[in-house]
Amino acid sequence: MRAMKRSSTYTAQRYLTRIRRLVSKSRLPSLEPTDEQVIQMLRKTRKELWEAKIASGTR
Amino acid sequence: MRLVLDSNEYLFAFGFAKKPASIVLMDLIVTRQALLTIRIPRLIIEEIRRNLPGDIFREVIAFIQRLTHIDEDFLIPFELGSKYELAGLKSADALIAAYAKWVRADWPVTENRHFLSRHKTLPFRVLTAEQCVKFIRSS
Repeated sequence: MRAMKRSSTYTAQRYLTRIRRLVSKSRLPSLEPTDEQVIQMLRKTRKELWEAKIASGTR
Repeated sequence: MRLVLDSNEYLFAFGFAKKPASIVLMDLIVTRQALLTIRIPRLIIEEIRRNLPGDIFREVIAFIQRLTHIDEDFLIPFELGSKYELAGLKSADALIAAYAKWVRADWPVTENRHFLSRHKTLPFRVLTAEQCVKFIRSS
């Protein structure tokens, strides 16, 4: 069990490293959004997804 | 400790705008697996997918699937969502609050100020990543 946990931690850690490498490669500091822009963007996405769910009757 | 993470925590950890506390939170989720249970509704995955480039999303979803229990939105009791909507939350935010209540989360974690400002009407405390990191480290 402990070995399984260790291996799951190792795999998750590997994914984290890969994600961070990918993000730093494709990052353009000049186009970096502000915290507020990220929140606004997600708010807009949430609203759109919610409206789509209501329209399709899945909620 | 059962946490529900909002999509903004993933975006601040893996997107192009960084928040140090969200980054540390992801590290703690990996290293403190024995202490933490992470649950999120499908809506959160859809939000992350829409806001990350495809190659990064593929890695992020693999990471999430390793450590997180994902529930379908339709499982969340409708009445609970309505209750939080009446308490002043926007519809989709009310779904997240209802989900947190339904899975008996100790804390939903978010940087969404609208959500944070309504926490007095909720039966649980809403934490930012920074507060959550402090709690985890002190546990």
